[in-house]
Amino acid sequence: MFLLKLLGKLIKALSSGQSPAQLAGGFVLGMIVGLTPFWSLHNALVILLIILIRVNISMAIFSALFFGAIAYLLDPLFHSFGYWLLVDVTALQGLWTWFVNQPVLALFNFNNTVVVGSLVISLIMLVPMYFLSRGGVILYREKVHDRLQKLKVIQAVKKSWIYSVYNKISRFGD
Amino acid sequence: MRWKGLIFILAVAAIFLLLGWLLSDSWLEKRIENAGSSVVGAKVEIDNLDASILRGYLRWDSLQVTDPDDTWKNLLATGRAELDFEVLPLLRKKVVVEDIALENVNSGSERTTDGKIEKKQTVQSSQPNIFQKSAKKLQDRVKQTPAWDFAAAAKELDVDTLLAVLELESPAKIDSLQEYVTRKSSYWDSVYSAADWSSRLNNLEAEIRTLETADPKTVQGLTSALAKINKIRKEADSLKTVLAAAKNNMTHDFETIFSQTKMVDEWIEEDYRQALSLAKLPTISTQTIGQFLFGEKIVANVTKVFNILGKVRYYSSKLPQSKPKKEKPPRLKGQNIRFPGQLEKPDFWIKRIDLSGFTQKGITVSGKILNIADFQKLTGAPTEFEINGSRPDGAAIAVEGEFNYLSNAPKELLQVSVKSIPLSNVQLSNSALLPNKIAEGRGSLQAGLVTVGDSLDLGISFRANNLVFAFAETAEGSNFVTANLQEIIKQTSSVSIQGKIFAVNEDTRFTVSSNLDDLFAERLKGLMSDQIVQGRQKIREEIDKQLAPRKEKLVRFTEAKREEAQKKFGDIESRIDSSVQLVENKKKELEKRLEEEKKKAANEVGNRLKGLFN
Repeated sequence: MFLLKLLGKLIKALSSGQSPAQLAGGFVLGMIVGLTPFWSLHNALVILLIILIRVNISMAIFSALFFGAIAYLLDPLFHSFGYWLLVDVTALQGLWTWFVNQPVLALFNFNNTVVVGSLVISLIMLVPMYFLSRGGVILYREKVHDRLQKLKVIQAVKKSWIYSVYNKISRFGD
Repeated sequence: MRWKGLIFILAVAAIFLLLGWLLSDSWLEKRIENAGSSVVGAKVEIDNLDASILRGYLRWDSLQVTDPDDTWKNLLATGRAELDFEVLPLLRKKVVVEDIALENVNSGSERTTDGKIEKKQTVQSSQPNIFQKSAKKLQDRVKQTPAWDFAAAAKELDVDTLLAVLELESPAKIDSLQEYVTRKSSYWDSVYSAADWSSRLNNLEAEIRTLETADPKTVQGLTSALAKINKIRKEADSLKTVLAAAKNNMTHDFETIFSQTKMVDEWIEEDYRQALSLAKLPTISTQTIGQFLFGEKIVANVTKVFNILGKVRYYSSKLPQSKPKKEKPPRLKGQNIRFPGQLEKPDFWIKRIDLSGFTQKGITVSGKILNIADFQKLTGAPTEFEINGSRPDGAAIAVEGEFNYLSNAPKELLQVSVKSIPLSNVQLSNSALLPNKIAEGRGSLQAGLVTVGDSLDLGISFRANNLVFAFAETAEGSNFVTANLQEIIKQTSSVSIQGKIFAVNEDTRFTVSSNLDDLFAERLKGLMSDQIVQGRQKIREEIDKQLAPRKEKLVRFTEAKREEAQKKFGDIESRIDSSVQLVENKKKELEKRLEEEKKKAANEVGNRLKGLFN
């Protein structure tokens, strides 16, 4: 009982970000975590950001899982892009050499092709994806949400025991 | 700012720190064991690891590194050990160990559990180094050494069965060459037909006959006839030139074919060698006896050492290239790029190891190893080691060496000296001729290895004295040959073996000699030489019987085709020559007559002019 209560409080506390900007923020930060190798040190900073700033954590988790699957498929592309950045672009050699020789920064693995490739791509996508996802949320709320609630499958889900458990747990946070 | 989130993070951090403090040793122990196992290819186990990252030390109670070739034994085991490392380089992902003190170091100890692991395919460098190449060549060489089944060799050789099993390659090659000759011959036939020399020559000869029957009387007629002759001559010359070129090419083709027919003898010789190898008829010489008796044992031990040195060279001399090759790593792993720019320290560097321990023979050893690093150019020093040990009864061991990867050509030096080691239960040879057990005796070994780049020079000298062999009951499959040879061994109280391995790039030479070689060779020649010589003769006769007629047929066929082609071309050539001769004769005749007519005409004109003025 105590554990459920704690879980409920956690869920409520973590669900406090609901605006389109917060959802979009969670989405893009989760995208970074999903696209890059999970155990990279920069992801610790990103996860810290997700927890500390007011972005939607559920959206961040969903985004991380979604982009994690995409990252698996796009891994050869990240490797090739990372290799190009690390080896073929000679203008950046000095930067990478400086990175790997700095205390603590060396632990970020900025000499690994997949880390660099995926991180650079996710940073390039950061701003456009933010605006896209924010626009998507607004569009969803204005045009799609009501229609979706009327669908029989959604109504069936709401009547299921899984949803009632979820409801109970989320109310425990009150 | 999400304040509850901050509290959550602080709580998680506190839990992590607590767990880290409680469990970091076992976590680190597991990580080191996994990393070590993947390098060695067998289990690496550490007991009671005590680590402090902040204070820079690691301690353990025992370390076992399994021998990948015998997973129930340890390649290396230690007792208590202490390791001090620098903390700051860790923040740059570099491990720099100041010193390690190892106690109770030993090798070859028995394990209580199997140290085998599931090996993943590791991607090694595309080019095997000199150690890996030489180890492979030595193992192939040992496999090719005749097994010397004395019992079988003593029986009569069944050549028919042998040749039925052996697939001779020469017949197919001879047939193929014959087909080639046929094709070439057809080709020249078609060239001859296409050129249509015969009809062109007929036309030419017809024109010459026309000239011969014509008899011009006037200067004009003679001049016109001469012009025609010159034209015919030009045509004949052109025909001759073309024919000469074609005849040259045809001759050259057939010469090439004939030089290929000379290879038939080599093909037959190769089939003969294959048959001998299948019959396992050895060449009795001191060289082959040495290899037969001791080669396998030496190669097995040397291969173990080469495998270790091969790995050392692979891991130690991976120099960062100016442009690293793009690899295909496993998914989500990526490729780590090493930047050849300024790097202060190597990624991995153990400055000093002090060790003490014992061997399986109870010799107490101590020594030091200096500068183990993954990139020596940054340390500026080669890896050096020196280990010595002795026992009160005089047994001693000394190993020293240097691995130097400071220049582009990697260098390894290794000197091993073992003195007065008891040989009870040592097996000198895998051959059934030498008994498995030695009841008494002591041995000494000197070995020196020098490698520079892709060249390798290893010398081994072993001597065993005061030997008393423990012979079992009559050796299995023994016959009079084996019994005779064992008599020699029973009378031997010392064995000395010299081995030499020399390799440069792909070429590996391995020689072994021992004091038993001459004794064995002499006795074996006496016992077996007749049988071996007869066996060889039988095989030779049978192969010649099968292949000589084919060879004969090929040579005759080729000769016939060449003569045919040469005759055709030769006929045309001589016809052209006769025509040219005719033309030349006619030309001379006409020129003479023209000259005479011109003189006649000139005289007539002169006389008429004289008549006018008289």
